[in-house]
Amino acid sequence: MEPNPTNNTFDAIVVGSGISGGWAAKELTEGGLKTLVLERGRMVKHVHDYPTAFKNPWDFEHGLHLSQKDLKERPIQSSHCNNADKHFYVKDSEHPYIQKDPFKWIRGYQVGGRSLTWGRQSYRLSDLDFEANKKDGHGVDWPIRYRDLEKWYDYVEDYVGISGNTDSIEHLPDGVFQPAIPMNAIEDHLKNQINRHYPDRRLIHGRVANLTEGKENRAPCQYRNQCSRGCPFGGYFSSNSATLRDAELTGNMTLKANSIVKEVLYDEQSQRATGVVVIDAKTKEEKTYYSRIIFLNASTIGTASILLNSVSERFPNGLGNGSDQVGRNLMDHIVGHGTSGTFDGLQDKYYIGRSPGTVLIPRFQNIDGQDTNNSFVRGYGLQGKGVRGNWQNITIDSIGLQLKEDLAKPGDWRIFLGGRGEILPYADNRVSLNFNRRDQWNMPLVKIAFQYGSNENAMLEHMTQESEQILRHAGFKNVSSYRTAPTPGSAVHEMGTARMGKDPKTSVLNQFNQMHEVQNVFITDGSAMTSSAWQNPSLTYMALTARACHHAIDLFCRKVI
Amino acid sequence: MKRRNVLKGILGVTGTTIIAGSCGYAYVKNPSGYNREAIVEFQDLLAEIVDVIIPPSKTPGGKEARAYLFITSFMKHCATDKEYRNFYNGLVDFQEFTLRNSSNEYALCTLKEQTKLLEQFIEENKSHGTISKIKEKLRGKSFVQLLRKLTVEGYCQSQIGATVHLAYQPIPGQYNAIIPLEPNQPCWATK
Ligand SMILES: Cc1cc2nc3c(=O)[nH]c(=O)nc-3n(C[C@H](O)[C@H](O)[C@H](O)COP(=O)(O)OP(=O)(O)OC[C@H]3O[C@@H](n4cnc5c(N)ncnc54)[C@H](O)[C@@H]3O)c2cc1C
Ligand code: SF4
Repeated sequence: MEPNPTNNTFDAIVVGSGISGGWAAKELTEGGLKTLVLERGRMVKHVHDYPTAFKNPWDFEHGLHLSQKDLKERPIQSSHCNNADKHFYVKDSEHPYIQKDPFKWIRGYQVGGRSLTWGRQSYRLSDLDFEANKKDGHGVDWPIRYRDLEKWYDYVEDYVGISGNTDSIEHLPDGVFQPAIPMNAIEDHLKNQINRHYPDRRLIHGRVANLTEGKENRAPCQYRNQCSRGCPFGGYFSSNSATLRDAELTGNMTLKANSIVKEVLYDEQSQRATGVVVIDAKTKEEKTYYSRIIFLNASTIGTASILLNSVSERFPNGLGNGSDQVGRNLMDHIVGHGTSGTFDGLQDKYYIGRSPGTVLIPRFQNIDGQDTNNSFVRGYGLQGKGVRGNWQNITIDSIGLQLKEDLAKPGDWRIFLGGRGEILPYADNRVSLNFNRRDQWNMPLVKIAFQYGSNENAMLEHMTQESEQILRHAGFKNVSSYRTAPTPGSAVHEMGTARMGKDPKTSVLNQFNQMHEVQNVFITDGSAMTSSAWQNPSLTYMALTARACHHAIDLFCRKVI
Repeated sequence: MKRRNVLKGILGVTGTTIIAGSCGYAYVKNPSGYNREAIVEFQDLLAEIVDVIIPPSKTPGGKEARAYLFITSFMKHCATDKEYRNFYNGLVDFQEFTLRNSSNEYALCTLKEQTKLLEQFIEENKSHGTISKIKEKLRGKSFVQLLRKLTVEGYCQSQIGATVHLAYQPIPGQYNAIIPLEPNQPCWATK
């Protein structure tokens, strides 16, 4: 079949335009493939569709507070968005799902997906992570090792623009970095104190997808710390500012917004997927598009639900689901209780500019020769941010001139530490479909079952205790962990629902993210993850996507698929 | 506002019945049916109050910064039903209190008198220690808590508050992570 948009035929179809779909679009179009990108949400044009990016605090009638109406429309998303960026988060009222157990499914249905709102933390996995399942027997072995992904990490980092430092930490490999965003006085203080008190721990510059040096068409970060509204300077990486723009420039991309992919079509004879059925989000009309290659990048839960909804004689339980692993092994990261403390000193130091950067205490548990922990396997990292207090932190116990004067004084330094910990793959933590309940597009509702095991609970406790101890040792006061542990899903790192593996009986994808059972379908969003590791995962999705695309293009050119 | 108007203000709350009791006014019906527009009746009084909490000095005060607009908007759109009720009732109580304790309308009092009245009212309505935590959970933030918090936010995030009293840069363009704090250097309005 020759590509021909008029009869809905393309070389490749990419489902989803978020972080991983944007990468698939870029790589496939640059490889010369006529590519159709299908996105269920509305169009968001870079710069043009960032309505709040230039707003000052006083331009919002009620500040950044969500209204009661917003809370009704977004009862789940509301913990993650505010009045300035809510338009990049779905209305839960329009996109219901079933929580068998509490699980936050935080979503952005639009061109760019959650690449617009992500926290930009970008870390490589290492062989400590890739070998973990094999070593301790949880889940199945990854079919790849660090050396398979290394050059692809180099490749995506160079393009994305990650600011960070070379830290020579074996289990957190260095990468291709722009200069790091510097630490402020309190972060620097904590770094020195950790060096003093803990030979096994370090505090490093966060590695974030914010440019400290410009790139073609993208200016360096202007230090406004308002990234989740969209950056008019292109200062951070999003599909909209980078991958989709470059895909567009090739002339090979057709991007269709408001296109909900309902299912993938399978042809019994050729044993290939032939295309996808799309529901127009507005008119609800159905259309079919055809291609030789299909990339599913609808995000972990979205992709699993498309597979489970793609039922055929050959695959009665969902496309490529002979292993019964599709939808299973759902993981996120444990988010800690959140620990903060204040510091009396360094009163003569301040900063100019609002940094979007962070600091990180990389995993220090269960690493050869270090703090070998018996209460849990794997580990966690602690992300932190230090600032000086302002009006938001002041205790108001007076009125009048004294209060007014106090408001103008820079407050005490304070630091916040938040843990991100590895969650093990459990078969019963799973996404399934309830065919009896449907949304307005007549799509079955997604149902999520998810519970922490004893490993996760032990790690959560540990992370909080250690965070508090670190801050106390570093001379902080008012050290406390101030909230109940957030609901699972809160890290917004859902992954694992179509895992990679060597054995088609126990996994869905091979070492190139190709479905074991349907060779021309590739899945490179978080569903591919065989374990969750502790690092923020999106950089790994990008590297896996770029690698899989090059493999797919090679197979395509050799007419293997 | 005269006492009559105060009552009118209360009756502007739809679907609720009000009983005057020993501890002020309590709504007994339809707790979610408030007509939140009613808060606007108190806009002038709030303008006075925010100027007492954050008075003009070398830099403008709460009234000029229009901190009260933020408060009424927050009350209309963002407050929970409990918060709205507490705040609205609090304003009614405060109005009563000023009428009882002063011969003048609040707006016509001197700043000194206004301050004294508000301080007295706050003192009488302060909640203490653990009781207040439990109370807060059950009843929502109190009038006094809300008033101070919202005034501070409304002021510090207003154009005047942020740029004249505090410091604000829309596009810093640079990040100097460690600089010496200059004498009297104001605090950044945003983080
Ligand atoms: C507040 C926040 C902070 C975060 N911080 C970080 C961080 O610091 N570091 C990090 O690594 N990650 C972070 N993340 C997570 C990160 O955003 C995700 O891992 C990443 O976006 C996943 O990429 P994706 O391509 O799988 O999915 P997405 O970016 O979500 O894109 C999926 C796209 O598919 C579309 N889609 C879904 N279903 C269909 C369908 N049926 N048909 C057509 N289109 C469909 C969606 O509309 C969406 O546009 C954060 C997320 C949030 C919300
Ligand atoms: S902090 Fe930097 S990257 Fe983020 S929105 Fe501002 S200028 Fe853009």
